[in-house]
Amino acid sequence: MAELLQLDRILYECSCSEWAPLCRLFYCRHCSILRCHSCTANEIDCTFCGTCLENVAVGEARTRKNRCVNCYQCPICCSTLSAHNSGEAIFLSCSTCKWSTFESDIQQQATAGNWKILENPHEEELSCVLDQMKQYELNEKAQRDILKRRSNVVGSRLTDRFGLQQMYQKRKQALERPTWLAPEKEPITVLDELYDSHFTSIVDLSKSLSLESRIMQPLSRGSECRPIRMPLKGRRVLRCTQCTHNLSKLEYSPSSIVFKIQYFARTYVPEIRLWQETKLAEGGICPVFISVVNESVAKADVVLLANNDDSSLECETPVVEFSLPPHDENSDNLSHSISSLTPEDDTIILRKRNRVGLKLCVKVDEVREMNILSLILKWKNELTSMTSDKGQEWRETRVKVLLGKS
Amino acid sequence: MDEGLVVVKLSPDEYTQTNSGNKIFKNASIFGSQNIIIHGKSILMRDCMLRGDLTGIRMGKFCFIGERTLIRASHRKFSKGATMFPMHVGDCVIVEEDCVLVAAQIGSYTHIGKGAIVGRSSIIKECCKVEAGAVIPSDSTFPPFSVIAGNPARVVGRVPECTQELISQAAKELYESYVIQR
Repeated sequence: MAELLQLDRILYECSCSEWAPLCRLFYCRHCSILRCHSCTANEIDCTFCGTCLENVAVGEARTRKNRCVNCYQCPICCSTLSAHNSGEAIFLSCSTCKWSTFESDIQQQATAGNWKILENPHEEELSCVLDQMKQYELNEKAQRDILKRRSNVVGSRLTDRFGLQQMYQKRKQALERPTWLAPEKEPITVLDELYDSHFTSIVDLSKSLSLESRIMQPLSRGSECRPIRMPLKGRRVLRCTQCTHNLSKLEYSPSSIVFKIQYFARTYVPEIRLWQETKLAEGGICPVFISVVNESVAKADVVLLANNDDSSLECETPVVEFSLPPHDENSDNLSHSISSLTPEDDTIILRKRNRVGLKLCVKVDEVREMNILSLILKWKNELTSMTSDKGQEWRETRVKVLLGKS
Repeated sequence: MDEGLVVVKLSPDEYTQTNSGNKIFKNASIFGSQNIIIHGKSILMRDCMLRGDLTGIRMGKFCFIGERTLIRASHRKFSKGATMFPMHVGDCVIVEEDCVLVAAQIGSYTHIGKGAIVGRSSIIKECCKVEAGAVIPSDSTFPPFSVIAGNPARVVGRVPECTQELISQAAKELYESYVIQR
């Protein structure tokens, strides 16, 4: 059971030369190539809170600084805080580290939501500066626009019948250089002296916050803690960068696991899995047991070739050819049926529904920390392309099998 | 590892198969069986414990409960006393050995690693992976497709998008590969 799935031990080469397990890859049927997360266009489909699973619109998320207003995180251990009723008022407490709002300066309040968060003391000043900069931006944009336009100043002659006069006045106003309203700061000339006691005094670490919780609340300045609003999560939609078709898109609800669009590589490319743990012995020929599964709903012809050039092990089985029947979703026939137990040859040991068990012989010169067996996988499947004539072409990718230690 | 090609034999002296296809360890501690609903084709391994005497436990198809795992209902204290909550386990849930599950809901296609502890009234949505040794705090909720690890546990990553197919296939193959025969 400890080795359930072990998907990271078989790596496929993506079209962008990255290596990834097959379950992490996608297959674009329009371009007939493998795609991974790094060579697809990612866009955020919806933002939601991971705790209350409520969908938050993008604009709303931006005004709330990407935080949920109903769910709170413990400032010490990041667990979810739960609300409790103390009789007259409500307080929040953490079930893991037992921190509660009684340890903060708010203690308790009448409602469960809208707990005050730590605020920047310079907030007002900063927003004033930001507003000022926006005015400058408008001014500069208006000046750029006037250079582009061939303007003949007729504004003064416009009647306000169509609201043009108002537009003209607005534009004229934008052209005027705004005056700086934000308070100006004097540069500091004398710095406070750095005393030796900063380095020599003994710090009581039990009273100060951990680095992690200080990073979570940069405005706390050391010791004060308040409940932290839960950060929102984003859900991604993947798109092929070449043909811009969607490769994966979930349904609208954040708690849904149903895909509207899915082009997982697993359903188009034969999947190689380790069948048994391999025992490698130095200086001999060892068997490596792998299985190949066809998860596609069409028949797949497969050719496995040894790729001894960039492999740390030498594969003695040069080529294996076989075809795999389609995966039948509706067959709930769960009898332990192995369709052929008698080995077809030295390589193909057994066949069971849409999978074959293979025994590859590997020559081991030296057993290293990580032993890599390189293979070339060629397959032909009519579903690998949108057009039926191209579906009969052979596709090819390189595969790395990580065999581990002896 | 390819679960579809491995055969694990369970002794008929120790294990029995029910009409709905559940393979159950005969001496498993199952209390309050009238409150436990298992939809079939599930495996309860050696020394696992199901506390149906507290409140109901409802389990879907193709679940695998590992050795020495405890499943019990959660409770919550209110001003007028404590209330027990029934536990819902979805389809194709794989729970490895030595786990303690006191959750309110464990969504379908979830894989819970060895020795994990799922705290009181926590909700794990579908297609999640709980790493071995994780301790999930009580009353926490985890969205679908999260990898959960640590003590206290938090989301540390995302599982592959095709987890539903991967885990449902692995759960069905596990059910097939555990055979009651001498």
